[in-house]
Amino acid sequence: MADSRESEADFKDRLHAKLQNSGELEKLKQTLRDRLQECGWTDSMRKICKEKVRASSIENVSIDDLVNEVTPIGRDQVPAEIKNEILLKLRAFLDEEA
Amino acid sequence: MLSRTTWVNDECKAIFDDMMFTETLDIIFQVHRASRKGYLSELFPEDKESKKICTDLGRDVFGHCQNKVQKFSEDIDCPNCHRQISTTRFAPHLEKCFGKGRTSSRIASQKISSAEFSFPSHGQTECPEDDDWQEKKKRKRKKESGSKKAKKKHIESEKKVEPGREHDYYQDDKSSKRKNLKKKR
Repeated sequence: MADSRESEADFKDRLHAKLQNSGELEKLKQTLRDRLQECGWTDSMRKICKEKVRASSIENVSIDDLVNEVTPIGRDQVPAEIKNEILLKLRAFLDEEA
Repeated sequence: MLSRTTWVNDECKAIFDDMMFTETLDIIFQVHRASRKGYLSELFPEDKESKKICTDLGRDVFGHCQNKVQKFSEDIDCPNCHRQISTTRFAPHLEKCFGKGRTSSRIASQKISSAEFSFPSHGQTECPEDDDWQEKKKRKRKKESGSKKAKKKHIESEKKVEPGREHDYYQDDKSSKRKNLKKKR
């Protein structure tokens, strides 16, 4: 079934489309959300954001500033178990396609 | 085939990063909106803070100030006596302070007239009767300058004193007219 002439981009698009259409993407999103909430990642992130807003002397902090500061922190703070779990599930689903 | 697995891995990582970014953005939007709308302090409060009791002297358990009466007006510096006066009382105070109001001018004129009469008398009064008459005048003036209620009472008492005037035209004053109107209704 694998077409070796298919380009990388097309292949990736196909994978993504399959995920989306089957509803698997939504399911995994929800799973991730639940896991993050359980382990306290969301609360921790909210606190950090709150502190960033308070710490900045500017009256109205822009969303861009918050994104630039907080996203790397969020990425680092994700527990490895959750990351692995989601990645495994993704891979399992997509390996069928490959 | 090896390339495909790497592609799959890459795609998985990309999708995961994307999902993480969505979650982060969600939180950022929440916090940002709260800060803009002004309810950031109420958002996700820590339990310990809400359970604490305020033990300060002048405040109640929740930390609110006991003195409920709030001052809605600022005090103004009086240019004359240099005291702090509330805005609502400022105009009447100025009246008295500068001596331009009704009562204060009356008091002032009384003082002046009494001062004028007392000036020529150095120790001995030329006309003691005049002094007595002046004092009587003062008393009369003081009576007149009394409160309106006192005036009313005074007038009413005068009316009551004359019993023979029951069917006089005084009866057709405003109060009796009002009574008649009420009866008609």
